[in-house]
Amino acid sequence: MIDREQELGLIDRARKGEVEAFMALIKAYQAPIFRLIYRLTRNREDAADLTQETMLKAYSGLKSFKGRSSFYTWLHRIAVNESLNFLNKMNREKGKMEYLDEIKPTDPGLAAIASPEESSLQEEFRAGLERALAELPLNYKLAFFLVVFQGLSQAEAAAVLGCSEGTVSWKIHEARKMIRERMKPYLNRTGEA
Amino acid sequence: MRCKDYQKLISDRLDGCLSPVYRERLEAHLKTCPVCGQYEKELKTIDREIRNLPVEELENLAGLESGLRERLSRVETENGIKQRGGRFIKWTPAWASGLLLLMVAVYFVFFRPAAVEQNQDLATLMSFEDSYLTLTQTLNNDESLKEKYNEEILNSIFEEVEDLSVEKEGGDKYYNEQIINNNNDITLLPENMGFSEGK
Repeated sequence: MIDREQELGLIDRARKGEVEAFMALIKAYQAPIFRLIYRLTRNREDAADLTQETMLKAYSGLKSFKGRSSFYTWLHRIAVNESLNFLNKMNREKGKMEYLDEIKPTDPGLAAIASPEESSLQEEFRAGLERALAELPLNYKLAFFLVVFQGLSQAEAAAVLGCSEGTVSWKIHEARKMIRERMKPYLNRTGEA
Repeated sequence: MRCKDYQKLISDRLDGCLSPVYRERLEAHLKTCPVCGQYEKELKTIDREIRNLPVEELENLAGLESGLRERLSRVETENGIKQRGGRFIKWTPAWASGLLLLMVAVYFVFFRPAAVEQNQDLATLMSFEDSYLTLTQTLNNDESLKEKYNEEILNSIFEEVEDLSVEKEGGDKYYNEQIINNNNDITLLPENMGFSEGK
């Protein structure tokens, strides 16, 4: 990770058209942005494409970056927008369920769900967790992923989502309750074990 | 506060954003509430497992980077072209205005005489009209002058008529003279002066 001063220096150079300065700026952020998009789209190729689109949009929109939030938070906002646009497009074109059905069976989490009896208790738990996460409503999912997976603070997540910190806190709480409900059978089994 | 309020505080504490005051109140509640204690235990298990989920990594980060670098370079090239084009577009009105002024100047240089002649004709006509108007106004203002003017006009008309009469009379005279001359020319031979047949 680069410090704030280095970040601002790279941003300044990238604004002037230095491609390499921008590449240095995003180097540390590509992987986490990809992970977030993958969590939202559940498709590796789409996630890679959307990550590239996110970076390209960030480069094009660098002049509009005021520096009020960190570059990482700003990048998340673009990534979330890109992902939501993509999901909306998919929903419009095919219907959400159809798209989810197309998720590759080789996906480790969902493959494990397909054959729970062959998996260990731990694997079953993780598979159940993956499914519970995938089935969260999008609004809750976004707040939850930004804070729990991406490591943003509730305030930063609120800035990304354009809502209040209290809303983010409440959505994460509700998301946890939903996950817990779905995970109850697994929780009881691990408790027994 | 009820249990469901404390359960929200449990969630906030897991995210590391609970104020010290609420943390103390939550801890005090958890010591006395087994339901919330169980809730916290379950959430901690879920949270731990979530953080242990396999992380999806970009398989071809280098490929993604090179693709991105290529696209960014293309964007930069396009931006450069746009900037140059933008500069041209920015100056286009100035160029157009300059060209228009030049065309107007050329027009005046090459077509000015024709325009002036036309204007002169118009000026002549206007001056004639102005003169007639001035004359009319002058005559209207001066009755004696008007009378004299009318008299002059009438005289000139009479003179014209007289000239025409004289011409006509002269013509008749000439005609008569011709007739007379013709008559004079006709020399009738006396009967005794005629050619005899040799009597």
